[in-house]
Amino acid sequence: MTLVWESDPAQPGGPRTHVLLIGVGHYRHMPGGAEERAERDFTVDQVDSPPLSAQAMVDFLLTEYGHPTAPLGSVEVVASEQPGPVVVAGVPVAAATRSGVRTAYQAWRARCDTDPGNVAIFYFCGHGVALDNHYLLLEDVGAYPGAPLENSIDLIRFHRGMTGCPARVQVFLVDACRDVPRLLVQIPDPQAERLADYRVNSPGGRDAPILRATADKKEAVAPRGEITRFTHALLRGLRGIAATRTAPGGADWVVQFRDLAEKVRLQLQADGHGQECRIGGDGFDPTVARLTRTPVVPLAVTVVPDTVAELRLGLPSGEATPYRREPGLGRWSVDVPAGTYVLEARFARPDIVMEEQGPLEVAPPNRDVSVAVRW
Amino acid sequence: MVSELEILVEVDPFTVVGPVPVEVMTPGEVVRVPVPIGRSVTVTLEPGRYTCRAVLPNGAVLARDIDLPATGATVTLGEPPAAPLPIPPGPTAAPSGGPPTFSGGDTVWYDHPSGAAAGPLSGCWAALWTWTDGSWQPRLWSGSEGRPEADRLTVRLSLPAGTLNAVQIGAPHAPARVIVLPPSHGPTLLLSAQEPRGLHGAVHVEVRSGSDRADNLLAYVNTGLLRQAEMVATWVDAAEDMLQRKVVDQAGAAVAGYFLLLGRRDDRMHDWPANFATWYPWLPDALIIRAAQLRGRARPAGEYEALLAAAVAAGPPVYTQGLRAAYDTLQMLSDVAGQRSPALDALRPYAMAVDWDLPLTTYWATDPNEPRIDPRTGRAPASLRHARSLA
Repeated sequence: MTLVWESDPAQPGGPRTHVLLIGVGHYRHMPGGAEERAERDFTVDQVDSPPLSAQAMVDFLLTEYGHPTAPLGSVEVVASEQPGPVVVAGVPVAAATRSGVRTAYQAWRARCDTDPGNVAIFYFCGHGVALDNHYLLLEDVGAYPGAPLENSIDLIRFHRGMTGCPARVQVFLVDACRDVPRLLVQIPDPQAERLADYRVNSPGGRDAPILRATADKKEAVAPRGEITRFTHALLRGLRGIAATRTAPGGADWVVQFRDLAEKVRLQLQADGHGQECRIGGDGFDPTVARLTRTPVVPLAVTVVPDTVAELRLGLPSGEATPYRREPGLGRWSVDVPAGTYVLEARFARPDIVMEEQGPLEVAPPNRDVSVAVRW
Repeated sequence: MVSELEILVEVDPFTVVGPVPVEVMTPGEVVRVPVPIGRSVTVTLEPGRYTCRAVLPNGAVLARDIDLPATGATVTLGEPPAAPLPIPPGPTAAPSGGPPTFSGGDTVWYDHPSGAAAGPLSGCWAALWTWTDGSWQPRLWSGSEGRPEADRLTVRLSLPAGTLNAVQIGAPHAPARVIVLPPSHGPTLLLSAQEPRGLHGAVHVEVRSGSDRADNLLAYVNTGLLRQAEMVATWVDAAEDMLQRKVVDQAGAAVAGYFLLLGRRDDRMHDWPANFATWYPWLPDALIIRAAQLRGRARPAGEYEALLAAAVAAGPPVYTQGLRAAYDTLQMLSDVAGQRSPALDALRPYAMAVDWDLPLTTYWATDPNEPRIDPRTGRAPASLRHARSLA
């Protein structure tokens, strides 16, 4: 099974957002895989973060995702881990093999094709390699020595093939490495799964950007047992960092693709691991999502001069103190819902006091606050 | 009540071409202004607390909070000075396990200029190439180096109009790379030392075309900071103007053409790409931009396939945007036809070897006509008699 969620058919029709997610954490023909082969053209490690990352995306989609014109219509997932199956939203999903991906793709594509106002979102997390094109490796890659890219997706050709899809907004989120295995270079014309057939002059006019997790010839990484850095940054972007108001002073927040790309890039850069996301594809600046909750915003508080303090962030009404930080931990960074807060600093020495500070407005993309003290 | 905020951006003009887009933010509201390097811009705002932020083309963020009183204030956004880089360790073996010199032939160490201190750029060399009769041919060195500093060097090139040129740069601590040069009679190379962890080793190379507007737009487009690109280009008006001025600024016209194609602004391109392709058939990008425009207009495939074949015959594109567009379209046409075209076969070695993240077509090669995917670090081969020692 690949469908983990579908909108109620009894609801009114109209454009919808349809999502296909692939998370490959098991490579069966690679070292440590279920059917390891001695004869291989290249090797990749087993990884545990892709199914976790795909599940984190599904959790977000099912509980928080919104769109101004195309509410969520369906979520198709294929994912692999060892031992499988991966259970997503209570559904044991098909393995991320070539046949599993084709089945999910066909169902997703059929839904995307129903309305030009649909939004098609493609998400991949797993190993990738780059030569002339970017190839996304599926669970059964390496099944045929001498045809090393059999059972992988040719992202460029797949993206091009989606020009035949009437959905005017297509967003490709690709969380995969782009390094170059040297042994693949000898292949004169690597063949991989295209998923979508295409014609020379397919209908144009689509917004179809690609956001890749890493730069050319570089790796995308994840801490073991956690979601990937890229997906983490992506979700923070979608939850608020990349949000902008639709009208000045309004309460309606949306995420545009370019803002999302920029904020993901800056988060990865701030991580300090040298990973840099990249934009590709074509199109302009589609709306990717509308927030259904208050944006969650990173707040950083620095006490100047750096003085041991307990910090509390409360609501102006004086209700319960929702955020508190113990003294002596330096700069305080916390993600909080956008809003108006009262910041308090308490010091061990009674003669140290915080300079008076008015209500603290916290809103996307982030807020850095310096608290001055005197004694 | 209103007040005035004067904004100044102080960054190294060696690495950043202005103007830099600055965002002046209150919670939830943003005012965006382009600020030239070293010149202030004043904006009128209500007194209050603001965060000023600039995102540089390399993604670095400069930010400062400021309390703006009714009497006005000045905010300066600047980078902390970079610590000098250490001299890298000696040449390392190529990843393939080969020797730290080019394969084949003798090797030559060039003498350092007398009196120059050995630094991270020591041993750096360069050679010029011109696309002639379907291949890269050596060109006598025609550049002038600025006064060498410890970890940076400026080289001004002088090139004839109407030719496609490339520069090859190598060093004991950096793989030999070929950079296809923008169409300009006087491009400038900015060499600087960098941490040797990246693809291109210890030597970073920037190329300035002579058109600051084009270089700045290209830098932001290339790193995907398109919101910033929009600001510095003041969006389509500047791009349209740059494309229109192709007679005097072919680099600007090419960058603007790609930018307008990216934004699907065919309405602002008019028929200028047709003239661009007709007047500059030696520039692959002029032909590729016209081909992309025709494809976007759903013209018969034969029309743009012929243009792309002519573009490939003219040499590798200057810009990676052009290489991607040409390669993708030729691959699509070959897939549909069921057979590979000679143009696709000719372009494929470049597509395999190019660093897709750099704005100008850049690939590793000891011989520019044979792009490589494995880097070769080291000395200029003796056969490269037109090579020039830079530092």
